[in-house]
Amino acid sequence: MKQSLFLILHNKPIAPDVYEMTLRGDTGAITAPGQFVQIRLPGFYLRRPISVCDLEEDRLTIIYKVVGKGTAAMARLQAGQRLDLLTGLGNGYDLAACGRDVTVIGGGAGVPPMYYLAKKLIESGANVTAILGFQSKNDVFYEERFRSLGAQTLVTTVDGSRGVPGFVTDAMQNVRYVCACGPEPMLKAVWDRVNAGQFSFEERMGCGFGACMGCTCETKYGNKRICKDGPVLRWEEIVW
Amino acid sequence: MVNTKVNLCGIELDNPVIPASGTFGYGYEFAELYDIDCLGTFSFKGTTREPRYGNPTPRIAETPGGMLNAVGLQNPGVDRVISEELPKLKAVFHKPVMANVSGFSVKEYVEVCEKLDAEPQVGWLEVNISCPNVHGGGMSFGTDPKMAARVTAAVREVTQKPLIVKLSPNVTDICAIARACEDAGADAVSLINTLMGMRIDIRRRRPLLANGTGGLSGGAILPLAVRMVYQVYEAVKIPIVGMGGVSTAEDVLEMMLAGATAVEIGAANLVDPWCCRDLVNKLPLVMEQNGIENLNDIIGGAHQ
Repeated sequence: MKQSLFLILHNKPIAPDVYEMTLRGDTGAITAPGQFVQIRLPGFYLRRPISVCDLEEDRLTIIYKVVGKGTAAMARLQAGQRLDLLTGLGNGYDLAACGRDVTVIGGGAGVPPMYYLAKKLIESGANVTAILGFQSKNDVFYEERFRSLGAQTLVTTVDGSRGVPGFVTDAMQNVRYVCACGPEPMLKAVWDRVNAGQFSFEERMGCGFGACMGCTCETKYGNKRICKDGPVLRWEEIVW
Repeated sequence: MVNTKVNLCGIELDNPVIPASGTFGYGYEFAELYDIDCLGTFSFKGTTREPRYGNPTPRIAETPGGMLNAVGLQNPGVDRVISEELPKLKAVFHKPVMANVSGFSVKEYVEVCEKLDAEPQVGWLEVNISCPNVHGGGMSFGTDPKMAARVTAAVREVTQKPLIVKLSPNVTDICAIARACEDAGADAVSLINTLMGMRIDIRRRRPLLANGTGGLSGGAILPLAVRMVYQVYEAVKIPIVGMGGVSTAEDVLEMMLAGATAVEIGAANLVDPWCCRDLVNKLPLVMEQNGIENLNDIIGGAHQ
């Protein structure tokens, strides 16, 4: 974990209530896809945990959804402003455990971390299928970006206005190993259909680095802290 | 050279800076970030007789200028604290540590204190009679002077170590509770624990925390904490460990002027994990800026 100042390079909407922010700074503590950063926002007490969407040397991209006052304030930040970040938080996905054929599944705000994961998997020589779930065609983002990485990319929309109608599970075929991030009902539905994989969980956090016990969950191997021992848990240890 | 040393119940601290229980684990998460021997001491995670999972999540909510928590005393229980956590703590912290104890009955407080009393590295027992996040224990002992005195007297019987009783601000007269603890044999009191609060999710129309209520901490409570330390300083003769919303060296001085001999820092550790180290480093400079040579000279200095 590192604390440092990052310079905002851009901050722009890419879908309704969804923003992409690119920052420049010391990314040296980020060691795996699926990790997150904690962002201190002027005027707010707690930091905001946001997953890493992409990393290119000293350039960090995050994608966040405006869901409350904090993220609304984030959306108003301008290029040129500096933000205090804690980086390198959480365990991230274990690439070595993924094998040759991997299906990455993201639902809504769970799509961003799958981008950096897909990129790293493809770099390591894996065949990647990406299933990206959204509510409606207007909510879709990063479809082309996943395709450009070389991932076979399927989009699902709940209202059927784009891609496969329904949920991400409606697009799952011949899945051997899955990496997923999204709302808990989605994770559970995906988990039910496979017997191996890694799942990234969300929880309200205090510190983000394992000190406060604010985000504890039960697993088959005892209590874990989503922020420090997670956010990625293995299929076999998850207790619903 | 300014003197930052203070004496807390017969044990000298290099400085009055003490990370508060529940925000610092058993020290080793922070020892990865900096040498925690720079601290005066720290108060480790609240310990109960049995292992506790704590409350369901969400356990954390943000508030203006602070946060609510309803962790609910998650800990592995006193036996595993002694067999697993304290050996790890010993490897990264080489000073007397403050053991924070909670319970659901007088008997449980006694049993846990008796076990921790036997641990050589435990310098002080901080008995928490003020946790707002558990039912049938914790705060129910800290809101009634008679109960507070009973717990204090019972624990006093089983330890020669300095006994600090941690008080709740969720009372009409904190001075009455502090006096009851002093009369029952406490060597010091620490205050304040968190204030009971609530936030409601307007979309779900339900309390945001799974527990309903939680304890408020952070900068928002600093003036309340300073006021209570100030009042208790006039009510008791034993030392006070002040806490509540402290995040800077200036806040430490303010708390000491109100009457604190040492100062705990809680929520600030969660937002800025290096905060206590930075505070320790900055303290001498801020003392000089304020014409303070010896910290002991300012304890209670705001009283006429």
